Order: sequence, then C-alpha cells, then structure tokens
Amino acid sequence: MDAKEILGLIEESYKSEDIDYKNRAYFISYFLSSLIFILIHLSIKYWSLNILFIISLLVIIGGILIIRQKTLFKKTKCYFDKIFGEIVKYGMVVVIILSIISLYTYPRITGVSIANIFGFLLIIDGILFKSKKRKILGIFMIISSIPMFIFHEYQFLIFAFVQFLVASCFLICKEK
Amino acid sequence: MKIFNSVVRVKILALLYGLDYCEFGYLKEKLNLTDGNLEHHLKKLEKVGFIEIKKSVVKGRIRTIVKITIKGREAFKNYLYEILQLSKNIE
Repeated sequence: MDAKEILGLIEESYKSEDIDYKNRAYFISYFLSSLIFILIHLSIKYWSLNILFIISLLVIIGGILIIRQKTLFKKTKCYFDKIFGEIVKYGMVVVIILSIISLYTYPRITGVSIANIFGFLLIIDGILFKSKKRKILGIFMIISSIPMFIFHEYQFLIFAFVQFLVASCFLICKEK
Repeated sequence: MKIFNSVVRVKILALLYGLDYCEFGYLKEKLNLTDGNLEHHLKKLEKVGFIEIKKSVVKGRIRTIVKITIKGREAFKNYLYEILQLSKNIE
C-alpha cells in the first residue's frame, strides 16, 4: 500500500458524511423553522403571547427530534462535521444579535438578514462537503431576501415558504 | 510496528483518522470486508489501544461505534510520516 492511497483514504474520511441522516435532520430543521416563521408572522400581525409559546415549544421539539436522529441513526461524524458545528453555533449567535439590533433599528431587514445568514451557512456546508445541492439552496435562500425586502410586510411569510421549499428538497432529493 | 503489517488495519486507521467516530457498518462498506474479518482486525487494534469500540442496543439492534484513540492517532501519524519519508527517498 503506497502513501498516495493512504492519503486518499484520509482525505475521504475528513469529509465523509452520512447523507441519509443529514437529509432527515435538515428536513426536520427547515420544516420546523418554516412553521416557526409562519407563527412569527402571525404573532407580529396579531400580537399574541400564545403564539410565542408555541414557537418556543416548536424550537424545543425540533432540538429533541434532531438530537434523537443523531444518537440513533448517525453513522459517522467527521472532522468537517465538527468544524461546521462550530460555525453554525457562532452563526446562530450572529442571527440572534443581528435580529435584535435590526428589530430596534430597521425592522424591515430583520427577515432579510436572517435569510442571508441561513443561506450563507448552507453554502458553507455545501463547500465543505462538496454538495452542489446545498450550495444552490443557499444561494436560493440569499436571493429570496430580495422579495422579502420589497414586500417587507410579508418577509417572514416569504422566508417560511422558502424554508418549506428547501425542506421539501431535502426530503425529495436524496442525493448529495 | 507489527500492527501496521496488515493493509486492512492501515486502511481502518486511515479512515478513522479523519473521523470523530463511525459505525461498524460504515467501515464494512468502505473496506468491502465481511463482518468476521473486520471484527478480527478491530479487535487487534483495540487490544493495542489504538481504537475504542462501544456497543449499544438501538431499537433491538446492536449498534457498534468505532473511535480512534489519541494513542492510535499518534501512532498512525508517525507511521504516515515514515511512509512519506520513505517514498520521498525512493523518488
């Protein structure tokens, strides 16, 4: 066995991923987040605390479902998974801080900024794991911020629809 | 080191090197081995402390998780360094 073959195997292992698990986990997270954004739209329109309660419940359910999928079905966890996990963690901090700032200063770009960061994270995932599908969906999410800015009253509803389309794509298209 | 005499064991360590963990089935599929053959090599690697094997029951099925240890990582790194030096000298 020569060095080239060994290096090839190492390279493969660094970016090997469990596609089935990822498709399932991404479907769950994008589907639930589309529901959350519909509820955010409703809670802004008809200011209601009950809706906010449902949103927090959905976030918890989503977290439980994804952790369950991970512990039961995830076949591999590679080095790039670890790196991407860190990127997502800090990305979520950016989403929260940016949302709070934009809500107080310029509310019409709240959804736009969230869509851009979500799209950018998906593109990073696509680059790390060489997935064309995720890169295209990330670009789609970023482009969707344009109609969100134009029809800013429905920005969260548009984003929810986009997220639903992305979730459906992960459910239907099983390839990388 | 005797443990690196087998191509299969080198391949197992090469695959585990970039992974945090993986399932038994993943290695089996990647290396195209039978259950018994893979288990034999994994046991040898576990015996020298290069890998950790954890078994758990999930939905009535045994789930085997394989993980490279720090010792295994270091040993493989040294082996790889030697191989690369050797190939450089040949060139």
